[in-house]
Amino acid sequence: MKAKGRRPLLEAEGLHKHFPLSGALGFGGKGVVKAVNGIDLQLWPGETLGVVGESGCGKTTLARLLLLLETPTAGRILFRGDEVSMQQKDLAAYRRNVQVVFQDPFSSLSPRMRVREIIAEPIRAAGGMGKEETVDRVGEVMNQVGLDYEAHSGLYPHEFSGGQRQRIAIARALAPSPKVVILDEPVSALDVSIRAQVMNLLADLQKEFDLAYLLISHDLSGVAHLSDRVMVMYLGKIIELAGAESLFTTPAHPYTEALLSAVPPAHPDVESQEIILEGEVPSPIDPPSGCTFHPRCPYVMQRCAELFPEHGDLEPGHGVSCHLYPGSGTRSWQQVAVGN
Amino acid sequence: MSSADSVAALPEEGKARVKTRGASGVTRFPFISAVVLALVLLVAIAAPFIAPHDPEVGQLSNKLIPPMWQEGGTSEFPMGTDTLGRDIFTRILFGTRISLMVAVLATGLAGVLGTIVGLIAGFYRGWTETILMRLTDITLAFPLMLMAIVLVSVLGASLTNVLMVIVFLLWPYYARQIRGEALAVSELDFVDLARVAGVSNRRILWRHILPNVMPSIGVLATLQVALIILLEASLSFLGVGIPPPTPAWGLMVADGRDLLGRAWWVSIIPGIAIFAVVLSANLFGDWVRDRFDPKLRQI
Repeated sequence: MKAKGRRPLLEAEGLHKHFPLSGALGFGGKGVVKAVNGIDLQLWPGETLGVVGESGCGKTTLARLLLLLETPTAGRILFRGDEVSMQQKDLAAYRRNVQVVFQDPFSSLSPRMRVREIIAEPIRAAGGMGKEETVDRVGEVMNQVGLDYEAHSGLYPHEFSGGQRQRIAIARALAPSPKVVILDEPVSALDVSIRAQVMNLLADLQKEFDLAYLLISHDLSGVAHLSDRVMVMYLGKIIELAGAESLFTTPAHPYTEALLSAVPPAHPDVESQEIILEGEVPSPIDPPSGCTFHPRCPYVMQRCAELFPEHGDLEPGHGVSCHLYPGSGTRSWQQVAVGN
Repeated sequence: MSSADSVAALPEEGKARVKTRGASGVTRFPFISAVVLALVLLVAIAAPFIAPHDPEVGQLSNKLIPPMWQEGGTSEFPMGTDTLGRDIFTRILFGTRISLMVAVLATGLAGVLGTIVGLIAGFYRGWTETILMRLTDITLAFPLMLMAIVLVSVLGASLTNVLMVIVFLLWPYYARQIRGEALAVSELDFVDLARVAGVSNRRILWRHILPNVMPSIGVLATLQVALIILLEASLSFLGVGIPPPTPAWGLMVADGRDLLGRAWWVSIIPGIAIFAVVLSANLFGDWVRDRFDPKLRQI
């Protein structure tokens, strides 16, 4: 898919988001939470980039940064090569092209607006469409997500089930004809029985409109099913980034390996080879030195506590940040033997 | 997630609800209160047509006639007359206009002012919020009655001044409540979605936050009506409210306070009127709160 576009649609360069902690009574900051700590990514037209990681690894903050809902502490966001920021006066083009579907369809639809108003909102905000055109467009997108304008457009969100609400949220995201849709756990709040339906709908819509998805999820099988490339995040950093096939068959980073081993096997006779990690995810307020994963890593070496491994390519298109793979980028210690 | 968790609850709310709720878990409609309030509204509109006498001018020869059911009473003055020979029944009827006008105007103005302050503070946060909420806290720290007396004494007793003082003292209750709710609503995903769509802050406030805090404004307003009627009556009683000869109920109670032994009706009858209306408004307000309070409803 990467070959389709010559340049990425959406890029992040050295993106950081640190939240200051306020101490008791609002005095004296007690450090910062490094929710996103140096992320580079490219999203190409028409591809799906999956983002996986445990809760608290910065997935959602990354999404909020890309949606310009948070100001980055450092780093830049580029759309079609041009830098965008919250301070910019005219964000209309970016807003029209980058839309989002959130996890919880019960809080993402205003309870006091009718469905047609909800879906028309981004069209109206983008401007440039007359009343009748807007109505036509609302009908069109509703149709595309499997809703009926006549029957549904005058109703309020509480009159729908969770799955239907998520369809409304998807229709709203599609309404201004975006190029990028950020999907933040789009099905995890839904009943298991309708997750596949919504996932398939998203896949169909992507094919039809050549959308680029950034799919944030902790549902690994869902990500495997929908993604072209997958990035694994741990404490605000990308630790592995690869084609979905390559990542799921030959995970390189010990954390990825453990994460994938947690997926239950598809067949009941297959014995699960789950790797149990020790300990909790460390606090992002006071992350471990060196590689932030080293306290839990089964292959930990002395080097790991001292230096965060640089991200390097294991093979074209499969990057990893780990001292186990010395050729993959960390220049300073090629002489150190691969420990195992 | 509902917005309920983070919204500051009114004090004693829990207890009150337990008491007023029936077995079905729903407060019964306060029928008598509703009738009293409807009657007050009707009388306020129709006072000039149903009142038998002039509310402000009486004949001294008719002074202190007892109510018709007492010895010496006459059906011409069903509730007796005061020291100036004015018909108390007529004055009670016209008094509903004062009470109602003050209650409606003060509730409305305080509600609008407090809601605007609360919305802005809860939505924009930061310095704006700090300044607005400290201002609110300062106003809330004034002893209500004392401050009202001082202000009206300084400004001079008139209907407009009484109104202004009540609005000045009561807007912070709205501001505090609405700020909390606006804060909670602002955290919901649909507000972020509106931002992502490129909707302006002002439009988000108007189209997304305000409609979702509306029910609380209504609930608070109904509960404040009783307080305002009582406040106006108290000020008038103390001589710093509506100036005579306007037939304000509080003023009428004050008129008869030296005559309680000889002519009880001059004070007691308007007192009963205040009592009945305030009680009805409170009971009705409780019902409105239980029925429409968004905190009790599943979103």
